[in-house]
Amino acid sequence: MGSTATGRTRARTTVLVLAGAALLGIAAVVVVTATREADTPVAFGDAEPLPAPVEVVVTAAEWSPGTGAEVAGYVSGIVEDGGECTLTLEKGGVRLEASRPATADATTTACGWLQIDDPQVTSGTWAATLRYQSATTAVTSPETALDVR
Amino acid sequence: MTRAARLVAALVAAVVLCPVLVVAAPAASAADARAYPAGNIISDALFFDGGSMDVGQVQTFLDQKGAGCTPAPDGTPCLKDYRQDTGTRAADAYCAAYQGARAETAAQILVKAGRACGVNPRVLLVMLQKEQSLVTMRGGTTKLPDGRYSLNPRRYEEALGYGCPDTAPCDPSYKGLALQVYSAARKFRVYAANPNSYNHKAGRTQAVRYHPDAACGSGQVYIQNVATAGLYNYTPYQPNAAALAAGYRAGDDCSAYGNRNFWLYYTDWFGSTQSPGGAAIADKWASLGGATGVLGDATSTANCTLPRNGCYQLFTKGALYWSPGTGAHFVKGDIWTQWARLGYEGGFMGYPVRDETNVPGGTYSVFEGGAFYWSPSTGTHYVKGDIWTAWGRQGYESGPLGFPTTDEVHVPGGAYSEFTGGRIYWSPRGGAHAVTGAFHDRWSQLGGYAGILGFPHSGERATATGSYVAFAGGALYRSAGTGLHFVKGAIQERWARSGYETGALGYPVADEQAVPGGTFSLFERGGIYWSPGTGARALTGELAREYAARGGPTGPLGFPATDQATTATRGAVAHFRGGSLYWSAATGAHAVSGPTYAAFAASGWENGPLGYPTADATPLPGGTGTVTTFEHGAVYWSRATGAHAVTGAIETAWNRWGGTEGDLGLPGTGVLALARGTDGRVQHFQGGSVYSSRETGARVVKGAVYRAWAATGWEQGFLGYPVSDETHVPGGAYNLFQGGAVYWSPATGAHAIRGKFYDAWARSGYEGGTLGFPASGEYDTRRGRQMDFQRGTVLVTTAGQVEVTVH
Repeated sequence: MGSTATGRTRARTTVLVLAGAALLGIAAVVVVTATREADTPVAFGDAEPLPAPVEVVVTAAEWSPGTGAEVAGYVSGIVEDGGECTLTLEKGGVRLEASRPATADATTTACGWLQIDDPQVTSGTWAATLRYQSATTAVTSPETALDVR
Repeated sequence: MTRAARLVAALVAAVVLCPVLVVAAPAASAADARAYPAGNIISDALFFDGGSMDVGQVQTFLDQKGAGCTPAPDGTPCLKDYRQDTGTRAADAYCAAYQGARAETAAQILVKAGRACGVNPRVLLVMLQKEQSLVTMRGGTTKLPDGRYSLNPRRYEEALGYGCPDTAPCDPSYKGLALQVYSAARKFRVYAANPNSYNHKAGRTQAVRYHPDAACGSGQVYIQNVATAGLYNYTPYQPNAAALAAGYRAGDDCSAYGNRNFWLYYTDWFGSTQSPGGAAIADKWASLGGATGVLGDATSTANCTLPRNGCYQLFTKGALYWSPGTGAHFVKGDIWTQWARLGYEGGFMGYPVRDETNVPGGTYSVFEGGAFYWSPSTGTHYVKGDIWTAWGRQGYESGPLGFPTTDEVHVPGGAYSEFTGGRIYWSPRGGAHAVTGAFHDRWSQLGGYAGILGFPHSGERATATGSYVAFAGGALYRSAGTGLHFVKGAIQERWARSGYETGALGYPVADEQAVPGGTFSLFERGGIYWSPGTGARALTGELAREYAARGGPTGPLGFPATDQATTATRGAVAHFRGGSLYWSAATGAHAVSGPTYAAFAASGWENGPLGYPTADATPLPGGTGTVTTFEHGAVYWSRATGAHAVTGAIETAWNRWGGTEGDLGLPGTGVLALARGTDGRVQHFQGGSVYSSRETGARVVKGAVYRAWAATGWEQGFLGYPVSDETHVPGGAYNLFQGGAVYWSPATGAHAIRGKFYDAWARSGYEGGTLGFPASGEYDTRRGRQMDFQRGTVLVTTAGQVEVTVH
């Protein structure tokens, strides 16, 4: 968008607000002020406690030449160090695994990015799962499809 | 500009000029959550700008945002008043050391943690707000639905939600404001340094949930930068459509608000999560008094999509514009309207570089490309470039030129701006200069910039006794005694070489005038005349006056072909197409022209025998020719004889014979040098010749006598030079010569006589004696040499005897 068009928009906005004020006068002020009073922000600390369980969330499952399969995820509902995340890829009876330590994050436990670069990962759709295991918790994500070309 | 845009501009002006309405206008600016940039919540540059605010600025900010806050009944303080002892944190791979202290304020904690970890304190302020509403919390007796006071200790213990899973209680080991702030700041550094250890990474497209409940689903987000990856690591949810449509309020059961609110608060408080311009505008607005200041309340959020990475924000009474190079400055009123007309910051005026500033009688705003000036009587007009600079040299609006009354007006070859006190003209070669008053009037009469003088090349400059303005094609000069006149071209150059008005010529007393064949300009003490063939030539003093008296270039002299020159004898001369003017103190100035000049030249000009002319040429009696008189002679001209100078002894002899009226008539030759004698010379006239030598003087020889003398070989013969003029006697005439005489009578003709013949004849009484006039020359006889006379003979025998025989 060119600067002229931007400028025209700017001027019009001003006019609408100001002209509105000119036409409606104090009534407009009262209406707008009331709207702002009712405009109560939602802060995280005000939220109701959520009953959701601890679960593993997969945020990315992808494959690229040279890198292989990459899966990222985290464990919601718990913040702890000492656990381990394990990626499992399965297709047609072939099962591959990779693990890395999990990390306590600000509001979750991070698995980070797990990678499997193996010649057995042939083209097709693989089922990826991310499992988290610690002294107190063991939980596995739902299967996520991972397409290999 | 479209009609609609013009109407808009007019409405803006009308409303802005109505202060009551403006003050009452609503504050209605909040970022539109629907613009939430899921993949780029905030730029890395802003997020990691750890030094963006100092403690005082943060405290001021907390004081403003928490102005209405009072402590809770249980003593929980407002954030602005919060203090705690803080522990020392050693430096590590992610943050510099944090030096703990007793009773640190929230502002100190935020600024110190921000600096230690390189995270913008504004980011930390926004996180305090989006997690616990701590920045704007009102406190007092306000209660939550569960009966607790809204402002309670837990808000500080879990201030940034660090260590707080969405679905479980917080980790108590991170309790407290200082620890929360420091841990969160450090964590963002940890994310940046270890992207593979956390869930979200810059440069990847990832599924980001809308809500902790998996059933709410997720959306793919291309995460553009490290800061955004960090925010999603910290709070792994994005707002769903209901959350985005709700502004700051609640959406639906699948809405999460953390990152939405981060973006909303940051944008509303600091203008932009993408440009430092947003915060700069926010700071500027606050420094101008905020909602009660010159600009009033905001009517838009900051927009940072302007060219050259600029930002703007609209307010009820104006706008703030920011760019990296110019900073934040406000524009308002008619200046804003006029700037808009020129295309805002995208036009040649660019961004404002100075707030609108009041000056006596009006206001002005400075932009990158110029400045707008407003006054009630002149309205708003811009000045720019060299014209602006030139106007500035004259004191801007407080100088003699006053406020601009036009924008820059472009004309062929240049431009001008008009002011209440005159105009400043600009051209590429001449630069910008004011032309005012009488100079402007005269210049305008001459066609102004499109006329003969063209654009100005100087302002009015003072001379010792007047002033001038230089133009591309000439100059206008003024002095009290001479008026205002232009000089130009070759004449101006010639005048310059003579020293302008302080030289011999002085000020011009008239404009340049055209005459057939050329032009001229008159000055106090002379004139300069130009023609293609002669160039520009200067005349001064008497010569100039006498030249003018003779008709100047259209008179007989025509254009001068040389400049006036000083002669060796303290006179002056100038040469013209049609002659020359010579001046000396003794003679005044007189013209010499044509063949007369050639004769004058042949005789050595004024240093020759003639000296300076004492009159112009005058006609000879009868109209046969002219005479030009000189100090020591004259030059005579006729068509038949040409022009010849007559001077000295020859002139005296000639005058004895009546000059032009006498027997000799007009000179037919110049003076010819002769070999014999000392300074021998002759000048021939129509009726005879004058021979001169130092020994014999100047003598007239003519007619038959001359021919007889010629027959003897002139002065080279035995007769030598004449020692008398022709002398008339009864019945004839004679000339005496060094070696004898020639006598003539009608009856006898002219014959030379000498020696013993002459002695014997003399003894007989010359022509009046017994012998009469000689009737022959000498001739040989058997007895010797003999001469015949009218009435006898004289024989000189070979023995030397003289025998006179009378018939």
